[in-house]
Amino acid sequence: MDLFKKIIQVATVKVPKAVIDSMKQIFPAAKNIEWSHDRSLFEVIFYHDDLEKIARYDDNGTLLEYRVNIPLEKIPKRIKKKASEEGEIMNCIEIHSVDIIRFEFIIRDKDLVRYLLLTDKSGNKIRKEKL
Amino acid sequence: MAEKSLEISDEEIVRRIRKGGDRELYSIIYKRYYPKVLDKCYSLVRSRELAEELSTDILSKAYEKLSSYKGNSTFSSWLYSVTYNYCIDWLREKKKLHYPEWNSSNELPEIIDETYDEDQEISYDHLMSLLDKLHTEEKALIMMRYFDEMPLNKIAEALRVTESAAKMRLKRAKTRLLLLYKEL
Repeated sequence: MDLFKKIIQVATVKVPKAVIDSMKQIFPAAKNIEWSHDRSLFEVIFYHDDLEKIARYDDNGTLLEYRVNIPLEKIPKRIKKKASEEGEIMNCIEIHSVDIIRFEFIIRDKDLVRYLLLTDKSGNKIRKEKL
Repeated sequence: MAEKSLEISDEEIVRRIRKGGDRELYSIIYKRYYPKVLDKCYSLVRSRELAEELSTDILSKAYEKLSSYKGNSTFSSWLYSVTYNYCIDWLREKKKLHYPEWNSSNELPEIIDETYDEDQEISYDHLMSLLDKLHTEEKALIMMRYFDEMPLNKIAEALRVTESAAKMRLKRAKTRLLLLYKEL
């Protein structure tokens, strides 16, 4: 197989019906869906409502967590302000697990050192570590 | 030395150097990997002179950092990870490479047709010319994943991003690559 095909081709993963049904129910208009299977969990990466998302399911179709890439200009102002106090925001992912919402930021300081900043749903720092 | 170099594995060389032994053995690693490191650097910085300079720096840095090679992957994977990390950090600092700005001004269309003519062969040179049109960080992601078959956690580490960010950026890079191919 040539390299281009290897890059572009979407991996074939046998996904249980319960998992697919669950995904369709929660993200009905998902596009460009790509499944993978790792450590007994099914993971899917896709576009939905113009946003990039990653969702994880167990093999019964229970949604365990999903992550949404938030474009920098769409980060809620209050949260953006708090995160910006730690450095320049380079990436923001909203994490939904069970009923908890958190934000995972990549930020960098003036010396371009990059950090992972994890906050609660109000933008309060939970953890910060060097990447 | 020539005979020695054919016999000894990278991992064995590293083990012997770390044990405080024959430091000259590193010249074997240097000769083995300089061309490969140079190729990767050139793919990212697109200047032969600069790529040579960076390759020398990377192999020296790798020697200084040998203690951080834990042996969980092959030595070559570890060295390539150091290579990508060094080049991207260099570009971010010296060339003001800023992926978020570039990405927001190069939005992907909402609906993407993922079909393409699978019977059409694409040469390596054609692929490289398409990859050159991507942002360097996206190009590096594709090279790490599909040329060097690095796991996503190692790619994330090398680019100093989180694993989720690496996954999303990789998908974006693949989508953009497909669109570029279709434009031609």
